[in-house]
Amino acid sequence: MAERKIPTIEELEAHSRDRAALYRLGEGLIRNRFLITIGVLLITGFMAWQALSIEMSTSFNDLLPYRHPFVRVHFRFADQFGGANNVNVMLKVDKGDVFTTGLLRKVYDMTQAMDRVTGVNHDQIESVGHRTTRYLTVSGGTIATPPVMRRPPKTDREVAEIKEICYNTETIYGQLVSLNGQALLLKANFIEGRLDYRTVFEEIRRTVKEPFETAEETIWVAGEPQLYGWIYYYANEVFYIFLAAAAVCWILLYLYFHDWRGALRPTITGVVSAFWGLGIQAMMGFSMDPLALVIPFFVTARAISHSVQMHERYYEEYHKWQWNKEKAIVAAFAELFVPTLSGIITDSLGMLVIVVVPVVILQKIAISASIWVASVANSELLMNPVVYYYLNAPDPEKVLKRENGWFQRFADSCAAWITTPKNARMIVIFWVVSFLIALTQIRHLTIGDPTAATPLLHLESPYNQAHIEIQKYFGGIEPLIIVVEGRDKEVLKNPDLLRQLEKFQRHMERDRDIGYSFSLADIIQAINMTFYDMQPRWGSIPASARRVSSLFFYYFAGTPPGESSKFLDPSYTVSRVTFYCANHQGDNIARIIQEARKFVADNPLPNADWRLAGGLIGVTAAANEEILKNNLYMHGLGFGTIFLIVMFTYRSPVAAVVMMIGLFLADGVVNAYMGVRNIGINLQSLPVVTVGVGFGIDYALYIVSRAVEEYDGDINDAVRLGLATAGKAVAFTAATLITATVLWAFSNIRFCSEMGLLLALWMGISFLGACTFVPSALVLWHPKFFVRAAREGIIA
Amino acid sequence: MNTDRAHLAQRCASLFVALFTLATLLGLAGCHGEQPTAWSTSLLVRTDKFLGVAHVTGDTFVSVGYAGRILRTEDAGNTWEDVDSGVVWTLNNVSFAGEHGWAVGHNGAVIHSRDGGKTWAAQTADTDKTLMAVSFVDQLHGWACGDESTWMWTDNGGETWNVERMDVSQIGLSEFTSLAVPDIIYYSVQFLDKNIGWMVGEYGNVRYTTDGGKTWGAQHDTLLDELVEQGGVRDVMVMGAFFKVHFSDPDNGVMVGAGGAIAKTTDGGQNWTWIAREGSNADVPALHLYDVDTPGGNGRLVLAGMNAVVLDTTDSGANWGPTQTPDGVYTWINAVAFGENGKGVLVGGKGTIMTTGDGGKSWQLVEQEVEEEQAAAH
Repeated sequence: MAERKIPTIEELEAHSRDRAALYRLGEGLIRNRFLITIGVLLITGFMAWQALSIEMSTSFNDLLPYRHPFVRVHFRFADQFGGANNVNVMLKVDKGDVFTTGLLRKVYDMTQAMDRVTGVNHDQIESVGHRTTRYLTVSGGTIATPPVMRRPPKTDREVAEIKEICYNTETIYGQLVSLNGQALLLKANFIEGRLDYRTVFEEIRRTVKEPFETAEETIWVAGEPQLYGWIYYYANEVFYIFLAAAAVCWILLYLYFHDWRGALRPTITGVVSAFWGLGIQAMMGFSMDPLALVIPFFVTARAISHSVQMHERYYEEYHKWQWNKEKAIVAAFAELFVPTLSGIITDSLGMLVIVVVPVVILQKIAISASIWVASVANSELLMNPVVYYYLNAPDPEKVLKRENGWFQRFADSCAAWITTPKNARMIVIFWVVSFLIALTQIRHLTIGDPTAATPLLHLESPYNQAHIEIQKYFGGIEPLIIVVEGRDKEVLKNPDLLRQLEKFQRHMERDRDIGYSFSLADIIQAINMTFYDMQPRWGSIPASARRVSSLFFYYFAGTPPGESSKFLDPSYTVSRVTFYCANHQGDNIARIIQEARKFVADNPLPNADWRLAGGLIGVTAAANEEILKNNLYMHGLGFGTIFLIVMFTYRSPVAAVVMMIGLFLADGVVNAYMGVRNIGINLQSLPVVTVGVGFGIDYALYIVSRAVEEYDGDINDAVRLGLATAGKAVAFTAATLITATVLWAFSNIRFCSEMGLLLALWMGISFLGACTFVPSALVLWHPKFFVRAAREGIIA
Repeated sequence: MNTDRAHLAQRCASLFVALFTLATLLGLAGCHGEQPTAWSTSLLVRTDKFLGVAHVTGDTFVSVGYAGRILRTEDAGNTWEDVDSGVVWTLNNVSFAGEHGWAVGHNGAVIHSRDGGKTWAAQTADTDKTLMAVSFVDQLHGWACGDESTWMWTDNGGETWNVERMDVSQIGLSEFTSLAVPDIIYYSVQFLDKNIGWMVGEYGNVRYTTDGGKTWGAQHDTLLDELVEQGGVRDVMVMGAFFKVHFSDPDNGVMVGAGGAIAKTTDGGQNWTWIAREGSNADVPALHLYDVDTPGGNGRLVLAGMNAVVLDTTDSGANWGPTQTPDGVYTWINAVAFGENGKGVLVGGKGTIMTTGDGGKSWQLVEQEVEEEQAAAH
């Protein structure tokens, strides 16, 4: 086996003439170091200043696929019928029922407090303690709709009256009072434009929950705004995770390079690119979603990965050039220019493909992350020679010691083992089998959320506990809103139309995950029943339009316009059917929407149209459908982009295929992992999954480029040397980043911890693929591109 | 060189296609989870409302309800299955004579079954009024009543229905109130044989006939007398609606109605007395009571109403006490029916169906599939 030999200076200079342009570029950079430093510092300073103004916020509307018809319906009608931002507060007793003076006063006071929370829609609060929650009663020959409680009850008699009202009002019993009488629900809708999750979270905690909760009378808060409130609450810990990850990186880097320059130099790249990325993000007016925090971490990881390669190479060149610092800097720069640049371009374009998904937040992430990655080129390529020039050269003794250190020896023997043809064959077989096994597991992958509780937080988190508890008592709290839009005024008074609404409700409610539903049909039935002796046999839609019309008149004449608008518009043209769903699991939503579509197609409305679909379930369905549609598209586009770049770099499609098979394997295994671990593909995980695709390609690029460089007539030997050098750096980078990423597992945000583990897995598998499969393929098949690249240079 | 290039381009293209296909395959495999799970239907859901129930034969019962819904059981209520009614109208009441049954409802709907409720066919009645109750004494003779003083009879099993309009009883009617109550809703009708029957409804009206409905008298006189004795006024307007009349034999009858009203007679209705009215009797809450039926003999009766009130009596209605019902149910119960061996069924709102095996002393909820899975609270 040929040992690695140190080339002579003459050989090196002859070699450098092959890429004279790059060497000249490196020298030029060092010559103009002052200008470059000032320029980069100025721009970085400006970007840092911009970056400081970046805000952490989530705009719910940004999460919606704006082109989807459901979302258009949602945007059109959310103001009137309630959007997706509902907070649900449940007051629950363990013994007896909620009908006591104390508890009714409590819910009354809680409701008043909720009415004062910033951004609440005052006309869309539902609670037995709110003025807009009314019941029907016949008084003086006409129908009156007084509020259930004008003030808290003082006597047992008043309590008994309220109890009777609650149990006999269809809109209250089972909806605001649990069927078993042990829980009260307070629902509040928030105005999307005025929603500040942190404020809402804090105010609800301080004014609605804490003052009223006791050991026997527990209060549970759920709903989207509350969920985001919790995420912000936990988001602070992200800072500590970042810090811990950085510390881990520093320690490992120090152990690896044996000097502080090696440990800190990648930090410069990370920090500078972070300023550029965040600065540009701020300049474009984008904010930072706390759930997207994994992405910057990931981008920084990439920056560090490039940086380690460069530093490793710098050491090596320093030795080769017999401790001539400037020559070593230029050589490291020139030799790594191609793999670094093509790595950065693939990463950057790989992120940019997310832009095809018509969801604002994903497009923002795509653009800002792509620019951020691209800015790594600036610090890694433009600044690098300059930074090395200003830093003292490493101690030659340390460099020599490293070259004979245990890690190098380990890398050498691994490289030798992998590049033996017999072992290479085994490796290829191993990968093919793993891939096939993974394929069988991918079937478990869910689009949308895989569980009823939110996958963003851990199952045992207070939020999920509250969510589960409320679902238990009320059957369903997540709305799916189907709008009914008449083509003429007064259309809603048509009893045939009302009967269609009822039929739709009764049909859909058969589904096990729809708790109950509500529409104008329920209101007319309740009015009819109240008007006629409170006899349930009258709780039906009248047969004649005249009767419907007069009942509506009686009812809405006594209701303030602001309060009736949540049911219908004043011209009787637009109304809604709301289904309260028990869970938003991806496949459940798909089933419910499919059934709704089928019903709507089979049952057209007289002179009116069904409009699907708003509410949390409607917009989540839209997001899931959009993800499904674009998941394929993005896979194709992502892989296609990488393919093209690698193909042009090596002028060979075979090169692209060899390097990309590793990516496919990693993609397959990661998707299988997601299927098995029950991580759904949703708006939050999609960008992480997509950017992960680019991971393996960097590793492969470095190893193959180096192997090509080492080619001296024997491909197997070249590959072995490539692995022992570039492969060693790749192994170290992967190990460091995996260690740092695993720290995310400690996050209270389940999404972050799952994504952390996922990224760690991704990096691990990509690394294994790049270090085992790619070299084995080269050893077994001796592709022509390899020899040609070695002869003619990688890029012509 | 050119051929080389062409060759290269061709290879590029084919490899690109291959890669793209592989990527798509991966994506497709990944999308499996998107396949919607099968649409399952639950028999009972919390928005189901049942209004009537009748015993057929053996352990067979039939229940009717909102929007033409019919459920049928052959094991005294443990398991039910949906039966197609063929109508969209809400069905209010059902009556069986042997295997023949009739159900009536809104918009003048009448449907008929010849096979114990397995299949139903529409009958024609020349009315669009809401029909509230139906009573058959055999397979031919039946009566129905409903909104706006409408009642109708048949002597051929409903092949033809003769629609009539009840006159306005002058009992307890002042000049002023006579304008207000021209069209009384009759909620309940019961015939004991082809001739003797009662019909009760709004404003405490109790009508009876001994000639199959050719002529109708009124019996609510004594109830008004009692109210006057207690210091009230003699005005039907102060009396709420009676929702159900039930005679166990030609002498002993009981009526239940709005505001916790119970009245009783032991002489075929010549004299009615109030047992409870708007909370006057501590054992009977001032809540609407919708139905009453007997598990058979010995003066036992069971009534049901709002807030899941279910009471029973052992002395033909003089004294009432609570029965044992499941905790945590507060919906209205609109109908109760008993079959053989003390087996019975009651039905109501929120998809509630309860059964008894001990003549109505204790009641059990029929399990609701959907509630079992999602809401253990119920």
